[in-house]
Amino acid sequence: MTDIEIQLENVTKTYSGGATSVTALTETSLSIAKGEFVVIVGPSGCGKTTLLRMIAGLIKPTSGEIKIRNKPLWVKNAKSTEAVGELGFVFQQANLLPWRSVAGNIALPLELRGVGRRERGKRAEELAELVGLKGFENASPHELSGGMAQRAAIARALSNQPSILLMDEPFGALDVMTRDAMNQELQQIWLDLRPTIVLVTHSIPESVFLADRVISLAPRPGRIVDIKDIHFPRPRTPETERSSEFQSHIGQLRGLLDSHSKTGKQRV
Amino acid sequence: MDMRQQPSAQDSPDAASRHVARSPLTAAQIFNAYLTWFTTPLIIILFLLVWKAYVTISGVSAFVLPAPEKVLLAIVADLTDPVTYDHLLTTLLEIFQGFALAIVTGILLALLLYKVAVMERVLNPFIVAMQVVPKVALIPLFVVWFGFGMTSKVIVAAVLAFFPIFMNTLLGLKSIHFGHREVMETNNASRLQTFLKLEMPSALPYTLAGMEMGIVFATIGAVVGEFLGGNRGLGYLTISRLNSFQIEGLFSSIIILTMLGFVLYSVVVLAKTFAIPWHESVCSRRTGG
Ligand SMILES: Nc1ncnc2c1ncn2[C@@H]1O[C@H](COP(=O)(O)OP(=O)(O)O)[C@@H](O)[C@H]1O
Ligand SMILES: [Mg+2]
Repeated sequence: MTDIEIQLENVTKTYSGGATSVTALTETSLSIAKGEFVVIVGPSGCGKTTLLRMIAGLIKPTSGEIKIRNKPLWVKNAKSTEAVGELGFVFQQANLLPWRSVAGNIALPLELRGVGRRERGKRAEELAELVGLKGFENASPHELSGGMAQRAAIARALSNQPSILLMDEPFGALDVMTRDAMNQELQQIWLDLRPTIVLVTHSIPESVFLADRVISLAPRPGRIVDIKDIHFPRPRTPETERSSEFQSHIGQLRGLLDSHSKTGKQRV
Repeated sequence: MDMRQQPSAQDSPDAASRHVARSPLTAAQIFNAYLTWFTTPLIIILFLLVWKAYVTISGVSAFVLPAPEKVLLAIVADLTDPVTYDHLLTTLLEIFQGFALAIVTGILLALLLYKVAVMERVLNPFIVAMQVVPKVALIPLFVVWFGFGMTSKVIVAAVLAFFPIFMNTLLGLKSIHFGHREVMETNNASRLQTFLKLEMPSALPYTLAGMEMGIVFATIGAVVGEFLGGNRGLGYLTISRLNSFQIEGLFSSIIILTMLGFVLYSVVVLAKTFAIPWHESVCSRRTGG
């Protein structure tokens, strides 16, 4: 049996503010293995971000339990920092601190963990190179393009060598070409470092390209409607994307998500 | 495609624009950059000429509007008189102390209200009330309470400078980008770390904007305080000249006060460019927008 890294048991999250309350995710159970690459797809508003933020411990489930490496994430109302462990979170926006250089941003998680200046500088340089930002270590975030800022954010999330990497539509704001390149790069990073990755996207091709498992969510209320294993060998290439099997996966997922959306239209 | 060597040119338009920035400036760009170096003195000279012409032609009384060269002589006389510097030093000390007091109390109170949300709710009505009070009207009261010496002026300067610094700092603390906060949270940052590495640098541009206004208000406060009481300072000098009909001297002391205000304001703006070179309010000005 493989080691289970993330476990959700009957997790429900209801946002209640004032008169209205929205159930963003309902009765969701899911196990993610150590080192697995899981991609979550679904239309806007189906609770993808909510799911990711609950795994990160940024918000607490209304009911149900989340366990990280078999330890409950929440004990009463307190987040167990021990359970959170080494986590990397790539947000939908790069969220770089504008008063820090690119290297200073990349090394922020190390700084917060008390790693010395020299070691931080070395790590930041390595990571900048890894994500293709070599030579931009001393640049200021406002000098970066959207794609470069997102790379810096990925490098930052990797800097503390997280065992879990959570990514919320990390390439959503990028153009298609940059996005394809970033997908390849991410796959390579995953092959090199083998973190457990949970990535959220609403691009079906992206999900099939990256995932060991694609988890489809449907809205109102947010829930898992399908889990699909993807078995292409790694590293996957643009060649993989042209295969008929790849296309049939995409077709199936698209049909599935369409059937669950009221309007019958799907953003891809 | 191997993206690991270097970002492609297409992916990094800013790398390309850096190149452009290094290329030699055109005549038009130079003209633009140094425009005010020519126009400012030109406008001043023009203004003085019009002034002189008006005084000559209209025959206006020298007690109302003296000729510009007379005022210039008065300024030279003032600047060569050590007594002027005594007054200047007094006013400067009042401004500095009041401004420093405003910075410390403004930041501390903003932090308190930000950290203890209940405090803000409790104090908010009073803060709003105090904001709408025309604080200059309180100056006589401060003179009564703190005497005719420097203390009352320091207090007035501090009270006037306090509000913009306090309000801006509080606004800055409340405007911290939620996404930045989550970056700290996912890294299990302690409260102290969050304060030092996020809250402080985030609020700093706001505090500095408040200080920009604050230094102007502190100057106003000290000078108006001197108008109303005491026997030292440039404000006192101005009023005493008004009372003794030294009209050229009056002009001179007003101009010296203006220059003082200008220098103090410039120092704060300069400090800002050094403190937050990363901020839009600084770097967009530098690149000419
Ligand atoms: N902080 C919040 N307060 C209230 N409702 C929220 C909040 N965050 C998300 N929601 C609601 O929960 C649902 C799921 O949101 P989200 O998890 O952001 O979906 P997704 O990331 O899939 O677009 C949406 O209907 C959204 O309006
Ligand atoms: Mg989302």
